Amino acid sequence: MTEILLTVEELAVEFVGHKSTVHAVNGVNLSVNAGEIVGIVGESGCGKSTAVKGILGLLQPPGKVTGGVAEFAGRGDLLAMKHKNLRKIRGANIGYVAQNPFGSMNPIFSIEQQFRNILRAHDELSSKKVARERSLEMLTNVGIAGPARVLDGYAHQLSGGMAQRVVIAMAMLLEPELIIADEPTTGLDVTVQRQILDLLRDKVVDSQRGILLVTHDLGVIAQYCHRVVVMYAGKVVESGSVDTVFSDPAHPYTAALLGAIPRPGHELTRLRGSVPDLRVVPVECAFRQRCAHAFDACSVSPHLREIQPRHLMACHLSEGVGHGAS
Amino acid sequence: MALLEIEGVTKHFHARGGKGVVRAVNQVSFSIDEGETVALIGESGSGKSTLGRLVLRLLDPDQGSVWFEGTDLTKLNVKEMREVRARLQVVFQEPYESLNPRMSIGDIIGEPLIVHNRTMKSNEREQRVRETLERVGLPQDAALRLPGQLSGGQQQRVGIARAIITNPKLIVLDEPTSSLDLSVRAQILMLLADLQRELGLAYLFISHDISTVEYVSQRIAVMYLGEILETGPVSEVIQDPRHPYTRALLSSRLSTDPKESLPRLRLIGDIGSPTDARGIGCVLAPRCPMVIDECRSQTIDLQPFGPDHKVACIRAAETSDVLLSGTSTGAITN
Amino acid sequence: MANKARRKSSQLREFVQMHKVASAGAFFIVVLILVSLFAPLPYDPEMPNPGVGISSPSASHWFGTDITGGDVFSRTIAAAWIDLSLALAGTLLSLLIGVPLGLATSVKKRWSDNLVRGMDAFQAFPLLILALVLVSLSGNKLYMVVVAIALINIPRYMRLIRSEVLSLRESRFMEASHAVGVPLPRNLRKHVLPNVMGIITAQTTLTMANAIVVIATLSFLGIGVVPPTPSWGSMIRSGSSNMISGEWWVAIFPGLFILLCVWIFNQLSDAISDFNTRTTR
Repeated sequence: MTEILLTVEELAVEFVGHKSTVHAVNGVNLSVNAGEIVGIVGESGCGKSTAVKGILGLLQPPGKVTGGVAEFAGRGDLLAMKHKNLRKIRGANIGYVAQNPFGSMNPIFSIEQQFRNILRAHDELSSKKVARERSLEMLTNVGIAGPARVLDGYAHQLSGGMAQRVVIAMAMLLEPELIIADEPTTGLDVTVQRQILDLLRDKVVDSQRGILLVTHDLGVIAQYCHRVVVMYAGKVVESGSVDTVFSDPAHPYTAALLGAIPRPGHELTRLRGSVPDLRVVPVECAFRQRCAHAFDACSVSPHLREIQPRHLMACHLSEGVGHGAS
Repeated sequence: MALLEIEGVTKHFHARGGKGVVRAVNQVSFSIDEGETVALIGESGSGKSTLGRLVLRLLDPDQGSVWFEGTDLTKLNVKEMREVRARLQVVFQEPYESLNPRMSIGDIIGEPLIVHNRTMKSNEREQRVRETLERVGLPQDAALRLPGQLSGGQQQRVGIARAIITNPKLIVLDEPTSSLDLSVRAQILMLLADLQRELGLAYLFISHDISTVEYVSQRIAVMYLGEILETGPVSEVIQDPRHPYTRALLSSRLSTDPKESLPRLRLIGDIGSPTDARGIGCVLAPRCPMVIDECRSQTIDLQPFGPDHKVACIRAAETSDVLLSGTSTGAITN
Repeated sequence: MANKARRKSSQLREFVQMHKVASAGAFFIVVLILVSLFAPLPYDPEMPNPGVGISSPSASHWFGTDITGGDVFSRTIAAAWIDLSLALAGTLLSLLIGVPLGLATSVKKRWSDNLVRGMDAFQAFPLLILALVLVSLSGNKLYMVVVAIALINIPRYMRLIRSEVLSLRESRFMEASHAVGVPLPRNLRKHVLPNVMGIITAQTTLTMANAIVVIATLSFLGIGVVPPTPSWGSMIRSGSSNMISGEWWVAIFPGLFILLCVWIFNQLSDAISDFNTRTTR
């Protein structure tokens, strides 16, 4: 019986400006089970990072969560919890890896001090010696040769790949059940990317944890994720197992995205137009203006519905017309 | 003679306080013919961006020559070099950063004409700007807008428009699509391919992503720590990579087909730094799973391997036998 | 051409909308100068009226009268033109010298390093004292006040421009214009200047504020603008002795005007900086 770690329903996030409100996230539904890697994929501005920050309560004003439920491992709704309870869960039960590792580390403190701070914040600080041992173990776990040197050093002395590994070690220090990683390898070289992703995958498969991985890279999804959630203009438009979605994409946007991958001898899909303005609450389907298959029903925004077991999509094409978008 | 020919180009940077030398580019030679696209592939620290700037003479090489249309650019003075720039242009990686945020799009695109065609009348110039806007797929009203009002893809089109308006022969493209979304990337690649056909342009396409360059390039050069390790026709190098580094690079690509899992060749350790002290020998020696003593003691040059395929590896013939499998082979990773 | 004009006027409208207080302040300054220059004042600001003597604000003397019987209101308003125009002249002079100097030192970085270091040393001087000395040595010539203000503020402009341009030079679009082949003069004119304009304007309003204070300080000390020519600083000086006897209006009103003008220029500076950063993204 696979344990469900996280269930998110109808998440909504708004950014309230003084002239207008941006509806950055407008209906995100997803779930993560133990032992699986779920990837959220979408282009810039689709709301994937915002959604994840919203789930973890990491949004800065003027952004705020305006709706939805995020049920975590029987511990309650993350969105409805008191701040101090959420803070306890963050770090101890859910680890967060942000996109820029250097932004997550304090340049003034040594790496060891930062590890100790994490332990202290969650009342797990016993002695300096024990803390150091735990930290060294974690650094070795993430594949850093010479962990003592890193521990005694500072953030600016690390390369991009090393820094990301340190941040992952920090996120895993308290052995959380779920790790949420937001573009953890963007900007890193391909070879380093592979090492980081292998690392994350190994930690999950062995120990029945879950990973929610946000990325714009379809290759990462294809090679590392079990399930994929495709986002467009603040909503989830399709989700399902990677094998199914990649071989037979149901939503026209997913199909267009997969068709835009440069392959020799393969005609690139021309996707005209641009993402709709999120300051306006969409009534019609957000993808309508760019969709080759749009028809009358598309004047109303479609809901996410199951078209096959565990394969969901938000498109009117699924209603009896069958899906054959490509 | 080829359109662009660089010979023995070297650029070293001296770190402040005398602590070490960054060997950004080391004795690099290659050529580009008219109308052809040569891709320059490398990871960070490879020196590919520095090489691009040396070709454009935004940096001066410490050694070597850069021959463009038969003239050695390194010997030109500022005024002569300026004239050459009408035919040697560039498109940068970050579309927004490369545009003056306070200049209108029309002015940005028209500026090269003001600089290089001083006799052109302003209405003639406006006409050319209009034509160029259409060529790159931008609407005519974009001319009045400011860069901040355009999307990333549109901004990059402006960069391309500015680069083609003086009818150049060669454009250096420095990671032109790396900052763009996937769907936009495809559009820009198609635009670049179309423009090459219509205008007979040659491209030096610098990138870290082989999948991107496959679509638009005819030849490819692979760079690591300032040196070119392999060159050849794109299809041949990708199907039959002869240098262990090329193999490692290609095999680390993430296939977008979930059912396809490429066998990996892993190199030892992390990417080297261009400041590492090096004597003689192959730059990859510290990390190469195929390394033998000779690799460290000899000067390794590019050797021909096929009609147009060159490799800087003394064991190039054995690469395919030695190293492929589904998991790591004889090489320990970090 | 027409497009540029249209864009500039819509930019102005946008600025006023975003920064209503600062714009109202700017309007006030303009009105003050015009009134001071052209409007007929209720009393002759330079003519004493010993018969009246010192009196508190009333219907006939809105701001009261000072010890010579002069109408404080008329004197305050009249002083506006003098103080503000001197401040403006000093500011413009520092602009006209400081900006090109700043540009020159940032373009030819190497030999200018020494000049810049010299400027830094110069700024270590107590510049107000320098102004004092210069103006009094010249025999209180007004043009010397202008020169003194310029001397104080030129180094500020220079440093500001220099640091801004040096960082601009690292930017990608400057590299791009180099790659296009844009020659230096055009580069400065079309690429550098428009991007530093905002900073220059913001600094100029700050310089105005500073200049007003300098002029007032000088005239307070009896240097520069001297009685009978009305100046806020000298009015405060003469009124300060009256404060003890409870006759607050002689010093307070000119003081308030100084405060108001300085505050307005500071607000304008903030507003311009803010507008600048907002409208580039």
